[in-house]
Amino acid sequence: MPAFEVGTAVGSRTPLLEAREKVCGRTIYISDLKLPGMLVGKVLRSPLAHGRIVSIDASRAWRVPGVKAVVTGSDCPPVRWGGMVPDQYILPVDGRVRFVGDEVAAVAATSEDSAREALALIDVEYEELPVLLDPQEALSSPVEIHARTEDGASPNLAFRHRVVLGDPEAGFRESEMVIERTYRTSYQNAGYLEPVACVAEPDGRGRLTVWCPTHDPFAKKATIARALGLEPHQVRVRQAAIGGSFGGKIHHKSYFLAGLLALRAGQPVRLLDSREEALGVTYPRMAMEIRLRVGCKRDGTLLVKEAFIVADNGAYSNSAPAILLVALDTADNMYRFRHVRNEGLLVYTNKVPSGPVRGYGNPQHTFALESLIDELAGELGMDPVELRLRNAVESGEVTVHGWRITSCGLRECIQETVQRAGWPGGRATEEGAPPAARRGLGIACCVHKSGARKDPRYEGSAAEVRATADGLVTVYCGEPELGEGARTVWALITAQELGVSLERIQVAPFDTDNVPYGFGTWASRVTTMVGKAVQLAAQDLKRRALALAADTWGVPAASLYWEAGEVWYGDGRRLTLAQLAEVEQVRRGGQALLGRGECLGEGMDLQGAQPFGNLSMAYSFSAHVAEVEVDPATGLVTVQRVVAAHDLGRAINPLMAEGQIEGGVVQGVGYGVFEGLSFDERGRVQNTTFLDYKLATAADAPAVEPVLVESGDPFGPFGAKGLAEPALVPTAAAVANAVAAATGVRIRELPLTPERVWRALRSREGGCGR
Amino acid sequence: MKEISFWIDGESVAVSVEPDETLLYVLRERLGRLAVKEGCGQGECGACTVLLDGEPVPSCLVLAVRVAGRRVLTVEGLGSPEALDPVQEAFVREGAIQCGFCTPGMVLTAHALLRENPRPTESEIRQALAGNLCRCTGYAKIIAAVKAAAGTAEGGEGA
Amino acid sequence: MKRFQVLVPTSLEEALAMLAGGGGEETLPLAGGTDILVRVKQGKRAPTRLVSLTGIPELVGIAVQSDEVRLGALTRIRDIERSVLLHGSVPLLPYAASLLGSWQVRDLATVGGNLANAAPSADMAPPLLVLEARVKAQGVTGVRGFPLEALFRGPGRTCLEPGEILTDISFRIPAGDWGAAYIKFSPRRAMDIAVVGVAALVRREGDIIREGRLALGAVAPTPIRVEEAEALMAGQAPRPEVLREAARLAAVACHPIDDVRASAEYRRCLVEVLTMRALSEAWRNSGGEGGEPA
Repeated sequence: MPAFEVGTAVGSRTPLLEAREKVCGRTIYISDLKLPGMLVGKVLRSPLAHGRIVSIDASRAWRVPGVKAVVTGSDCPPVRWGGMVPDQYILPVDGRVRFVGDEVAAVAATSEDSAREALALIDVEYEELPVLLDPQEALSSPVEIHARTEDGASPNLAFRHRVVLGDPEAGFRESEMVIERTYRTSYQNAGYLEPVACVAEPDGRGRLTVWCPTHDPFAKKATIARALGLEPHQVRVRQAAIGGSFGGKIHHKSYFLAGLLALRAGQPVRLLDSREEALGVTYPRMAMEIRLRVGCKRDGTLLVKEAFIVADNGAYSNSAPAILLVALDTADNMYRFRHVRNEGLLVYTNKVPSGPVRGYGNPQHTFALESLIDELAGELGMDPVELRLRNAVESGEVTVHGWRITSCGLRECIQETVQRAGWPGGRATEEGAPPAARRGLGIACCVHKSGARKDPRYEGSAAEVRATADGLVTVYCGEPELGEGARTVWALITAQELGVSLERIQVAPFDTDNVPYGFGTWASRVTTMVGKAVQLAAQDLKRRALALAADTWGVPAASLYWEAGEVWYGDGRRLTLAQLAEVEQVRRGGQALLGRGECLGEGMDLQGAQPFGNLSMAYSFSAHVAEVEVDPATGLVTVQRVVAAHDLGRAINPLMAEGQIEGGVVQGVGYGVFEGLSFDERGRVQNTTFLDYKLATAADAPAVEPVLVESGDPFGPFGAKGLAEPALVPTAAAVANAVAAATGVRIRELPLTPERVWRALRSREGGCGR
Repeated sequence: MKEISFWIDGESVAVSVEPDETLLYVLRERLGRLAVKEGCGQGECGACTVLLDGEPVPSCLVLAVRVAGRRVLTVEGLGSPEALDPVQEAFVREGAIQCGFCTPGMVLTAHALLRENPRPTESEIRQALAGNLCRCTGYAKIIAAVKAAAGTAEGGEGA
Repeated sequence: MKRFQVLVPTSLEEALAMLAGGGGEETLPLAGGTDILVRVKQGKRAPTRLVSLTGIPELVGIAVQSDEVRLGALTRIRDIERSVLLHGSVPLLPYAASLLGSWQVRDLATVGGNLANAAPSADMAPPLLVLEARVKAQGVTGVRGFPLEALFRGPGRTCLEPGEILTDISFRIPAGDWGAAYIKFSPRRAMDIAVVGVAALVRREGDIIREGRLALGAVAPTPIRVEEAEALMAGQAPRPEVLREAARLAAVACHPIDDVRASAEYRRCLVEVLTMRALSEAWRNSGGEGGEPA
């Protein structure tokens, strides 16, 4: 345990609470769970990107020894569910398959071999339907991927949204320079190391426990119950350690299928993805085509921005509409645009369904906008840094989308990165570099929310902090830990408020039966909103402890003071928190000393149906400068260094905050240069191994220099704001801008693979190579 | 089934295995060594790394029958939470652990590196760890931890 | 994974008898296993018997005697990477070995396995081709030796008969001043597969290329030598136009395909660029001056 003075927990460099256990391999992940009688589940998947199931016969599968359950569409409640659009069943009740990998049937058996054999004996006859892979084509095609339509204009439009702010037409008339560019992004897999595992266990009393690694277990509890035809109280969600997620585990069919199988078999069932499934059929970041038009004054003052986005939803929606909304309302807020018109179309295709991945829709739009800002700087003959500084929002402003900026370190982030990276020195070829290599620096910025409205009625987080007579302090809250250190942050906040040492603090394991309701771990909200609730709960506990001491001693509460986890009275009398907990226990039949706190999202606009306006309690900012080396003959881009400055309000735990930045940057570098699903003409993902879906290795990761900018938010706990998502958001644009600086060639499509860069350079320079 | 015996974390074990079972499968499913993680099953992520006669190997690509008579070290044999090995201690202190799923394999590879090359350069560390993917940390703190364990870390904050 | 038996012979004779005695069952030799086990897991191969070769002492080892190098086919890639003997005599091979897979994979994978898999991208193939390696194959019917080039018949296909295995790989260290280079092009710096691999070897006589050898990986159904380019270089000074022409001929000689990793067109261009670089590096490694890539 780290050594820090009592009361200096916040701001101390603290390893994860679980670090010693994890480093010894003793941590139990969901894929490690072994329950008595647990069966092996397997999923039969569609080989076609689009088809109709003519017939399905599972009778031979049932006869395999050891098989305890076989389920197909006909075993599945005819309940359609989804994120914002109810467009899916657990299994194809409607007899349709819509992407390669769509779940067709599932089995549970006593052994892996039996399960495999049974899968192979399920006879399915398909009728092929025309396959739509390109969103533009899908928009105009008469082929309907789903029967329902959002908009009569096109059968494959899952969702559309338009936001108009100010007077865009006037803005363009007023502009002295207008540029328009189109950018494209790729499908990025979350790339977590532990494939999704899910265990469902019926309890014999009509309840089902589902162990699943989702970020929003309370929401899943409700959806699982609905999809399985159960009452809400009949589902309990529990968790063990989660081997990475980055959003990629929020949605997963296994959470429902394991339950269906377990109810059918009357035994616990585990489903565990293969890596091929993790890469080929599970929820990547959606690809977008983004057409931007921006108008400004000659001096670089930005006036107006227009975006038209066509987003590739894939076959089912999950969170896709919300992801598109984030793309439509986020990136603009870092600059002082006066007028904005953004429109987005979310289009069904016969591809793997997209899902949330770190940053939601922000990385796509930020890649486009931050690339365009550099292009605009070029047109204006301005330094891109100067252009950004001229337009950067500041604390106290209200942005074009109505975000009230209560703390803002964007300027400082830009200045810090630029200064540390030696801007713009990297543009000249350095001595000692390979003769052909060209170097360049690129900058990009980001704004992101720290929590966002989900329920139209409220946004909030709740926490309880419980002191017991044994001297422990236990924190209860309703959000999962994904390995990022949220629990450690909550413990540090509690330690700081109570003045007790970290060893005395634990965070209760997640279990929907035992923790307060929580919206979940997303939108970079857990440090800010949950942390605030924890802080308030600890303060409440302290207040109650003081009142109890005052009552015990018969002195006025105001005459007492709190220090280092103890209540003191002027004459030297004192009671520790454990002693007070014992007093409470004795007086009240065993009750613990309990503090409760709730964060209701101070300052947020919670009226009206539209999830717009001031939708977060605080906003985070960042700037990344990437330094790249480009081999012009081969197109190989090497990202050598990234300086990443993040306004996180206040670093509750600087050690793990740096870790978030370093990890996010390397994922962002992956988004920029290595990663992207590729599909064959039949809609199958071609890169379903780690050999062909390339995560950066230790040899590829650039040197990352994290810079913590502490702007001190008035609402966040101890001034803290979110950090998880912003860490990835600007990196790809910084890399693309650096490549443009190095080569003079602008690449508007991710990822910047060697071949793509080579093609772009060749089209300018001609010939093969150099 | 064939009975084989080998050394695991310093203890001799005898276990019956099918010929097509991998060392990873036998460790996890037959011997309950859950510290060995499966990330891909194809030798491309390093999560299942164990040291076989002191050398890091992907246990998902080693058939258990070929391990008869040999020494296998998993992270469970390296140290306990109360008595960490220096590499483990450095991983904890430097913040090199987030989700922790890559950690057992990563720690073993780092341990093998430092035994072979007690004062590796940063480039040697990066090359040695390249077979162990990590999606959380961006490797920075892992590299710092290996340097710290080797005593080659530059001074400074957190070092 | 498909069920199979694993046989563990302790001598070559025993291994060959096992390989020949499978009856109707598909029997495959098992070296490091890093390729075949992946294929079995992916369902691409379904052998019912695997004959493990790693326990056969005569198949393992690195020997350098005067100018002759012999590698046992079961020598691990990691042992080639670390071989002091090879670092001193043929540094090309330890370097190429260091680029294959990950440390973990190199601890298992063998040089014979890398070649006998006959992947067009095999990292050990281009370097051994420019070293003009010969291989020995043995089956129950006897031993035969042939140039490495003759081993490769197509992707995953070799000239080995069923029941026959590679036993050793040998080559002569070139006489006089010589240098070599291997350039592996892949998006990642480690743990990756070659999009293009180019090996070059130059025997230098003063300022003249007495003999240039060139081999390419991942740009044809098999790893290939480029004789047209080699003929052109012989007796020439390494002037930019010579290197450029050799590179052009290499690009003409290869016949790459489009796949998920790269287009044929791009691979062909990479061959040209990397050939120039590899020749230039090989020339410098031979102690020659100049020879900058054009």
